[in-house]
Amino acid sequence: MLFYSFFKTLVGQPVVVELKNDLSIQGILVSVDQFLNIKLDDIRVTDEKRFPHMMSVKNCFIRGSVVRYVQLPAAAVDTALLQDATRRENAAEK
Amino acid sequence: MSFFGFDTSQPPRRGGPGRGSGRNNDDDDEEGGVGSRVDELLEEKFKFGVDLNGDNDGDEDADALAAAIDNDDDELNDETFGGGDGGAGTDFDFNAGASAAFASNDFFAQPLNLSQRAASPISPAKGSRGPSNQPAADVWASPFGKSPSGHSPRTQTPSSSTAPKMMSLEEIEAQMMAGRNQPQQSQLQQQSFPPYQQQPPHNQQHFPPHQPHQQFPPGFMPPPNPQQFPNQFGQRGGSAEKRIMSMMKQKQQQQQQQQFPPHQHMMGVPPHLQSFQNGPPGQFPPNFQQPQHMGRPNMPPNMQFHPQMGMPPPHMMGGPLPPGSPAHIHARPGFGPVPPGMLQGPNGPLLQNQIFNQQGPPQGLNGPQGPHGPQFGNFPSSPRNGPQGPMVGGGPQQQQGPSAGSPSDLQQDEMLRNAQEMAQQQHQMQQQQQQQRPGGRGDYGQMRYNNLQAQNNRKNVLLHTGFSNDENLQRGATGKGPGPFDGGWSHQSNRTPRWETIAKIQIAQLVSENPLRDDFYYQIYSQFRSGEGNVSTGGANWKQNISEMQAQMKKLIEGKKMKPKGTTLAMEGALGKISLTSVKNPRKLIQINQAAKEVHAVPTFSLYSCVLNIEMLKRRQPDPEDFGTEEDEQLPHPFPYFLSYSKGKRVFPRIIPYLTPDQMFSALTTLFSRAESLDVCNMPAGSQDEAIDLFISTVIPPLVSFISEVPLQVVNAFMRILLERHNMVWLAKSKAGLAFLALLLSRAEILKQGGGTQQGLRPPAADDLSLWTELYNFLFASLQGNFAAIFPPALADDTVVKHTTSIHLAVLGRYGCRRHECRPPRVLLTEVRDKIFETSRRGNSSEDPDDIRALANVNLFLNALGLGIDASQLAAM
Repeated sequence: MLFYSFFKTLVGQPVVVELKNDLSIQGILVSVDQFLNIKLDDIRVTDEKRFPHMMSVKNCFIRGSVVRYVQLPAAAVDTALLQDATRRENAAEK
Repeated sequence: MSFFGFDTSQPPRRGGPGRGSGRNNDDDDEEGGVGSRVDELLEEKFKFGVDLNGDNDGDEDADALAAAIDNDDDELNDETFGGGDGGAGTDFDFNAGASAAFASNDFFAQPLNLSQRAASPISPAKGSRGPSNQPAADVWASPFGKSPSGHSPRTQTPSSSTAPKMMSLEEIEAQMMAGRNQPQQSQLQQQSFPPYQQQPPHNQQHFPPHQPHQQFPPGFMPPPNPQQFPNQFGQRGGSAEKRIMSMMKQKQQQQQQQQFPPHQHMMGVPPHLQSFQNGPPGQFPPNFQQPQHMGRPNMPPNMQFHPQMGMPPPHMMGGPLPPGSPAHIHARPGFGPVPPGMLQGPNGPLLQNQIFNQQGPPQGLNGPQGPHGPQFGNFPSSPRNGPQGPMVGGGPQQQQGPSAGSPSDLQQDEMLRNAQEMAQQQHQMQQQQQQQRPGGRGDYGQMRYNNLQAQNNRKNVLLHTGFSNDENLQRGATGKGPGPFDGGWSHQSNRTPRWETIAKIQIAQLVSENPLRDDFYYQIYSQFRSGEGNVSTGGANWKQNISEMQAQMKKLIEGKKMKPKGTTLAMEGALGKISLTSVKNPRKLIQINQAAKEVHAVPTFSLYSCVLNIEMLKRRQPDPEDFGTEEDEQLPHPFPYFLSYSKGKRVFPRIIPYLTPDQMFSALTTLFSRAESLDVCNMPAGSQDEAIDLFISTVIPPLVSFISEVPLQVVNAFMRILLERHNMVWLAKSKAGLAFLALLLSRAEILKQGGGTQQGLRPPAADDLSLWTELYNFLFASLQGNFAAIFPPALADDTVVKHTTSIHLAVLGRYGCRRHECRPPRVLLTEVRDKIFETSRRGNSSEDPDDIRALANVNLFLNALGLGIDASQLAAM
C-alpha cells in the first residue's frame, strides 16, 4: 500500500501521467485508489497534440494498469520519509 | 402469490378461451387457472415461516397442501397452455439465434425467433412490461427462461414447448441409461464424483450433512446426480465434447481449489418431484453413476456431487458444445430454484438461472428463495413435466405431498449447498471459458452469467463484509420466507440508501487495521504538513473526517461477524474481485536476491531498523552496542566505519535525540579516537566528495549542539583524545578533522570567555584552563610549519574549499592569538602569506563573487589575527 499512501499525499498537485500507449496527460491529481487508478482534473495532453480526441476532455479517470509513469513535483515528495516508508514496507513483508 | 408480486385477489377464475395468450403478458394480473390456488397455498405456508434448516415438519404441511390442490380445472390445461405442438415442432435450436444475438453483447438483443418458437412468451419482470415491450419480454421468455432479476414468475408455457422437451428428455434418459455403462474418464474429479450411493470420505469434511444423501428411500426420487447431466450433455455431442469439457475442467481445477467460499443453503429440489413420481425412478440409481467427468468440471474434489450441480455444467457447456446439444440440457427440467440469497459465490444467481433455464417454461420457476416456493408453482404443470426426466428428482420433496418420502431438510440443504458450490465452480469455469474465448460473447450462457454475476456481486459483497447475514438473505425482504431474488439488497429496503451501503463496502476494503503500518507515508507526511501548515482549512478537516469514518467503519466491520480472513482470501467486491494477496501485497515484478547484501551493510540496516522502531514506538532505546563496544582491535572500527556509509551518516542525527548524554559522550569518544576509520578523514586533502558534504551536514550539527553544552573538562577530554590519537597535520588536512578542531576550539574559547555561565556552568576552573592552554599549544606546535599545507593544493581551485579552510585558519588564529602575544598569528601569517597575497590580489581586482568571498575570508582572517589590517592594506605592503 506504499504507493497508494504516497499518491494520497499528492492529491491536489499537478502531475503528468504517461500511459503505456504513449499518451501523456497532465492535470491535477484528484484522487487515487488502492489499484492506483488515477483521476485527473483540468487535463491537457502534453507533448503533442497528436491526440486531438482529447481536446474536449476536462477530467479523466485512468485505470492504474495502463500507467507507465507519473511525473511529480519534486517539492511535494519527502524523500527521507519515503525511504523510511519503503524500509518499513520491506521489513513488514519479510 | 404476493411474493411474486401478483395480486392475490381472486378474479373470476376458469379463464375462458383466449385467456391463455393474454395472461402471460401481464405480471400483475391474477394468474387464474389452477396455479393460483397452489400459489395461495404456498403463500400460506410461507406466512408461517419456512425454516430451511429442516426444523419444519415438512411432511404434514406438504401433504396438507398437496391435498388442498385444486385440480378441478385440469381439463382446461390444454386450453391454457395451448394444444399440442403449437406448430413449433420439436426440433428446437436453443442456441442458434442466441449466439448471433449475443455476439453483439446486447442482452436484450436476444433473437426473437426463440421466443417465437416458445409460442408463448413468459411474463416479464413484474410491473414493467406491457404489450409494447413484447420483444423484450420475449427475451426473458426464451427457453433459458428467467429474467436475471428473478422477479418474474414463470408462467406456464404452452405444452408445445414442453412436449418436445419431454421427448428429448426421454432420449436423454435413454442415453444416460446407456451411458452409465461407459468407462469414465479418469480425472481428478473422479473421486469427487463418486457414484451417488457412495459417500467419499473426503467429502465429509465439507458436507457432513451429506450423509443422509445416501439414505434416500429407493422408491424415492433421489436428487438427480449432477454427473448425469454432463453425461447427457456429452453423450449427445459425442466424444469431442467430453474432451472439451474435461479440458476445461482440468484448467479450472486450480482456480477453484482455493476459492471455495462457504456455501449456503441451496435451494431444494427441482419442483418436478411430483412428476418424477411418475418418472422412471429406476433410472436414477443407475444414472448416478454417470461418468463424472462431465459432471463437475469445476468442482474441487471435496465437493460432493449434487444433482442440482449437474445443471450448470451442461448449461455452461453450451459454448463449446455444438449448438444442437444444449437442447437436451435446456430441456432438462428441474433443478430446484436456488435462492440467490443462499448462494455464496457469484454462481448463486447463475446457478439459479441456469436451473430456471433448464427447467424451461413449464417449470414456472420464480424467485429462488426457499425450497418450497417456486416448486409449488410448478404443480400445475407437473403432469407435463413428468417426462422431463430424472433430473428433477430428489430435493424438497417434503413440500410436495405426493412425493413419496422426502429427503430431510438436512439433505435438502446439502443439495443446496452442493448446487451452490457447483454453481460456483460453474462460475469459475465460465470465467475461464470466457477468458479462453475473448470474443466469446456469442455464448448465450456467458451473457446470462455475466449479468447474473453482477447482481450476485452485490449480495456477496454484503455477505463478505458482514453487512448481511444468511438468514436475511434467505428470507428475503418480507422476512416471511424466501422472496424474489434480489441480489441481497432487499434486507435493507428502506432503512439505508443504497449508496451508503456501497460506500460501506468500498470503504471496508480500504480501511486497514493498522493504518500507521499500511499507510505509513501518508500518515507521517500529513502530520508533517499539518504541523507546518497549521491552517485548518476545510480541506484539512475532511481528512480528519475520513479518518473518523474509517474508525467507524472499522468498528462496524469488526462488530459484525466477519469471516476470518486469510491472506489469500479472495473477496468479491462491488468493484470486482479483489484478492487480499494482491492489494496489500502486489505481485513483485522484480525479484531481488536477498543474499546479495553487503556484509558490512548489515549492521547498518539493522541499526536503521532499530532507528525506525525507536521512532515509531517513541521509546528511548539505547544502542550502546553500536557505539564503541565493538572489538577495538577490529579495523576499521565499526562505529566510524559505519559512518563511512552515507546511510550511516544519515541515521546518525536521527538517533542522537534518543541517546543519553553518557551515550553521546562515549559515542564522541569513540568517534574521535577512531577517526582514522572515517572515510571523510582519509580522503585526500581538498577533495570535494559528496561524502564530506554529507558528513558536514549530518554528523557535525548534532555534534555542535552537543559540544556547545559541555563544560571545559569535556572539551579538554576530547581535545586530548584527538591530539593523542592522531597526527594533527593529517587531521587538519581533512575537512572533518578541521571541523572537529574548530568545534572544540570554539567551545573552549567560549567557555574561557565565560559563555558557559549561560548554561549553568561555572567559569572554568584554573586547572581546566591551564590544561586547555597546554593542549592548544601542543596543537599549534603540531601544525606549525604546515599551515600552508592546510590549504588545498593549487589544483583544487575551488574557492569554496578555500573558504572553509580560511575559516578554519581564522579560528585557529583567533583563538591562538588570545593566548599568545601574537606569535602564533604571526607564524600563521608568515606561512600563509603567499596564499593571502594571492587572494587579496584577486579579490581586489576582480568582481567575481567567489573571489570577493575569498577576500572577505582573508579580511576575516586578518581581523582575527588582530593585526588590524585588511587585505588591501596587506596587498599594498
